[in-house]
Amino acid sequence: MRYKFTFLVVILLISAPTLGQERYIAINIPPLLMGIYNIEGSIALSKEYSLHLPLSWSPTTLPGEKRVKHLIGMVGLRRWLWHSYSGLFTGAYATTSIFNISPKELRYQGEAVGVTATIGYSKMLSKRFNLEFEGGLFLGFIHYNSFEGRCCGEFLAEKSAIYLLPSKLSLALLYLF
Amino acid sequence: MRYIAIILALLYLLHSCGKPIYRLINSDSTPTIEHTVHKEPAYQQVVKESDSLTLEGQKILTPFGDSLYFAQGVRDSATNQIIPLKELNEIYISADREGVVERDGKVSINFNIEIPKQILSKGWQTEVTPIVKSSDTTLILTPALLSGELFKKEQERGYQRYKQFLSTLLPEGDSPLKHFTNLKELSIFLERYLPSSKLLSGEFSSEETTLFGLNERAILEHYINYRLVEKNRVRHSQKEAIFKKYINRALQHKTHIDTLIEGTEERVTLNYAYTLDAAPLTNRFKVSVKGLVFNKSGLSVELKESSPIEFRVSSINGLTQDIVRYKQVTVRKREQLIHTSNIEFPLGGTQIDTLFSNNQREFNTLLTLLDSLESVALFDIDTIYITASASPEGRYKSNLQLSNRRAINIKEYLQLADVNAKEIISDPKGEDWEQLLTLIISDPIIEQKERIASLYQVADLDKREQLLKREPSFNYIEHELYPRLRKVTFTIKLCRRDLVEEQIVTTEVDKLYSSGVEALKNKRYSEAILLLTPYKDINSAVAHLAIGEDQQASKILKQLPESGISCYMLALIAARKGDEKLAITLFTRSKELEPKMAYRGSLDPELSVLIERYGLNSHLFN
Repeated sequence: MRYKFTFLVVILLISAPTLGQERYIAINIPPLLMGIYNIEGSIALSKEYSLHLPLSWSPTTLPGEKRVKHLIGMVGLRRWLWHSYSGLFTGAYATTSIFNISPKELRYQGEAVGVTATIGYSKMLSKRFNLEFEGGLFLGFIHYNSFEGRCCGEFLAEKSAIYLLPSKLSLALLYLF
Repeated sequence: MRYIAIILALLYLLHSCGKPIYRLINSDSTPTIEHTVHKEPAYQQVVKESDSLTLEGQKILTPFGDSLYFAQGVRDSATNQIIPLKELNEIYISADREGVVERDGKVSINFNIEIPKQILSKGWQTEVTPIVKSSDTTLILTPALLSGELFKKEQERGYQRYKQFLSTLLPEGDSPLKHFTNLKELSIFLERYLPSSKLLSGEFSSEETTLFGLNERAILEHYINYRLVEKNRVRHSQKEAIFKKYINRALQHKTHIDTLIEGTEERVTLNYAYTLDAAPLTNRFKVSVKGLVFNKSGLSVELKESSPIEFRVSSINGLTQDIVRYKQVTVRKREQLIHTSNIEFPLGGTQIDTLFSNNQREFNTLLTLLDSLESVALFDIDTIYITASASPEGRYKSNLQLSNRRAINIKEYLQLADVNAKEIISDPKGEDWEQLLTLIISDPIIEQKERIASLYQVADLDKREQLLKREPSFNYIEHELYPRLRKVTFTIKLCRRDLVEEQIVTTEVDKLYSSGVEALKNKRYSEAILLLTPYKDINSAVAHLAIGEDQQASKILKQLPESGISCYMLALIAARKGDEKLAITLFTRSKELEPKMAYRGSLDPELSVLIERYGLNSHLFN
């Protein structure tokens, strides 16, 4: 169900009737290097605003049963100080995710929903490529179950709370078309 | 060992700083000035200097083996004198020692300035300025600069630093695209969003906009670094302050000599040869010298002015004769004065209204004029003719009646104002077509004047007026020329009170000639020649001779009756031409006619040479 939804959004992004000719696909490099798949699509709506759809997915289980599995989907708007895809910007995203992670000897499995506010800078490298820096904070509701051990352990507890966490830290390479 | 090295280093530093400048304040040391000692008296030759010397900033090796910083002075190794190194332009003759001769309105002087070692130093620049003082004129001549090596180095360093500062300045007037724009990002942006733009070539198009409505100007504005523009502007405004900061003593551009000295000399002697305009100087003038010393930091001490030396000037205008000329003047008993007034009347009106338009002023001017004629008491007013003219608007007959009535009213006004005239006559003119034609012909704007002039063949004036109205330039004529026709002319016939005859012939002083003589005495030679040439007398010959127009002078003198002065001047001309025999003959003749010419001869070097050589004045000593 979730994957279908994601797929639909990507298709919409690519085939959306063009409000502008400015669109891009971006890849966040550091997570990619760590084996986390990510892609972001965007359309410029005006000189000052652009629509963004970042997706991040990691099916990976690292050696030693370390899990960083997650699927994060966002939809958001950016406001550009000068012009879309050039210079300083601020962004606001609606964020949803499911995760299954085991950073230490416990495993956490749950969902999160909330908003992410970001600030960043996009540097034009050439006609088609940009390098972008972005960072932000997530504020939202996280519900998760904790389990013993990194895999298949006993159920320990269930928790729900509002969290403020750093989010969307990225160094992305953009391709404009 | 270490301490000895430190002490030695400190001593070296102190020594290389040079003498402290404050020591000059209580010092009596000052440059002195003296006449140049010539080897031969009388007929001297001095080098005429060109007074627009420019600095070249080069080091040259002179024939004497010295190296100088600027190619303007050379040291005479025999006398240790620095003399200007320049081309010989012309040779001027100069009189012996204190006496100098004025020729062609100029005087050449020559003197030496001696600078003692107390006011010279490696770390200083000594500036000596000769000052010429006549009775009410002071002339300041171009100074000589003697700079020590350390001073020069410091000055050079200052200029280097300033030059470096200047190299960081970006030109202000250039397009901001050149220096202040982030061209890389601008070009990427244009490539992406406005590839058809010619902005990078400096061409703006107001029609080119991006998809989101951004035009080229707005794009350029974003990529110009205004902070840099402002920083550059501020640096430009600081140029003067930076100059003062780095350069304590600027290079002087108008100098007689600018040379480097070692600072170990006992004294330095400078030779000055200068050509002055004779006009501001009287027959005697003094030359003194003032010194100014600068140290490396720009601090300066002014030295006492030296005692002056005196020069005596002998000039040709000393031969001017005090002649007064008279001319005949015809004085007539009856004279006439014409005064035009713009006395205005309302349309169709004939009554005098002093409050209407400028009438108050016009009447005041007229009455003031009549009063002044009376107060001068030279004339009686015989008759005043009042002519009122009108512009052609309306019928001729009614205009004539109107101007007649107006003239009569003005006459009554004057009679009431008690104008002291025997008779006042009103002379109506009506429409002033003659004046209109004059104005049309002389007007630069009106076209097809011939066609308008041909209308004057129509005798019927009213018909003529109608035809004129059809002309394309009528509007202009009506607004600009018609008002000038509406005037009143007063022809005032005057009669001299003190004359019985109709005219007499008297003599009065010829003021033109007197002005010419005055100009000649004050050395305003071109003015004197203009005024005196028509008279072709001895004074006009003097004027020509004073500026070297020997041929014209000779022509005039040969036509005059023989006299001591005319023979003397011809002798001078002959001596200048090199005809010694003729010069001696004429000089001898002049002495016969006027013995005092013998003394004059010793003042003019052209003849004093011959007097010396052939003993022409030996009779004076017997």
